Amino acid sequence: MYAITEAEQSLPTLTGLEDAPLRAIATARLAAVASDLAAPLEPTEAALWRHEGIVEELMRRGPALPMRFGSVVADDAGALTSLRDREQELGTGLDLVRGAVELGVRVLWDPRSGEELSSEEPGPDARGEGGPGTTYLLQRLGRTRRSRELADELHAPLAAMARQSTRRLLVTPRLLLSGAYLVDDDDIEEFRDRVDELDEQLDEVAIICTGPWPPYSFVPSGASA
Amino acid sequence: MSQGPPPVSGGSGVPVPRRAAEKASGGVDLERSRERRDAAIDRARRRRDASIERVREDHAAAGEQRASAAERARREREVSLLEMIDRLLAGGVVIHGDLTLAVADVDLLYVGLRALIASVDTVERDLIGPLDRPRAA
Repeated sequence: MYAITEAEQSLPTLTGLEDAPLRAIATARLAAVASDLAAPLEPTEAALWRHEGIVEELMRRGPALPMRFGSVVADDAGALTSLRDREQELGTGLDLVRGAVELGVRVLWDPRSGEELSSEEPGPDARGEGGPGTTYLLQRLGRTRRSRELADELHAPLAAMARQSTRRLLVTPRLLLSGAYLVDDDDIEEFRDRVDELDEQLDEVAIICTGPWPPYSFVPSGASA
Repeated sequence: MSQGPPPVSGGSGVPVPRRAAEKASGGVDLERSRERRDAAIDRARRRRDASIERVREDHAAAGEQRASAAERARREREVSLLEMIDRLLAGGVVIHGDLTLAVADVDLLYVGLRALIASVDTVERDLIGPLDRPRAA
């Protein structure tokens, strides 16, 4: 299964994995766009792009909730059960992403940023305690503090332009911020402009903005997903 | 339900939504709105590619020296690939029941791709865990 759409959604003429034709497995309200598989699903790069291409095409035609790659059910009945069990939740999810796309923002920084800041200007508690251990802790403190400030400076204005957003901080030392933003179609360019402005204003960081993506990060999570 | 973003303040350098008035008037022709959507998506895609290309070679954060065109092209592809993988494997609707792609397969895929895109900083993070749940803006 590639995506969930509204029941009346038209299908693109693309072929799915294994070059099988796409078909819709529909309830009165929702459709799961799927294709039949003969062999177990191989998660190759080509297969991932195929999945992505189909979801992107569906997204052009109307609201679509992308399925995670590897969502395979035994038969149509299995797909219908999935749809019916969560009809309300998935319908609300489609409304949320209607007319919007996901944009990804990754911010790289130099993890040493903020170290000098704190060693020159230690907090009151730490004053008078030299030693390499203290210096190290102060550096870490400064880094953490500066990373939070920077991430807020970057995330807040972008989140304000989005319907919804997610963010993660410092998942790796150089990846200061990794955010996803659900942005109205009509606001994509403004969002990109804002990213460019922030990139120019803040010398400490390099910003990579990607998309538009299908709203992979803004789908209903399910009760126990 | 399909509510627009909160209004953007008109402060210094912050663009005011151009289509606010249009949105408020409502009743946009479906076909036109689809064309506009397609055009907007195409424009943004081109800019995405330009943006990735623009990643500054000399940036200290990236810890890189001057990059050749080939190197830039490779990196651009890696960023797109990484972003795509991240979303397809960690995002999207999860159904319950007969998932044939086992978690172990997904882990293997990540490890395999990690070798492919080892130079991209974010892969480690992808191995750590799935995306946060969205928070309302």
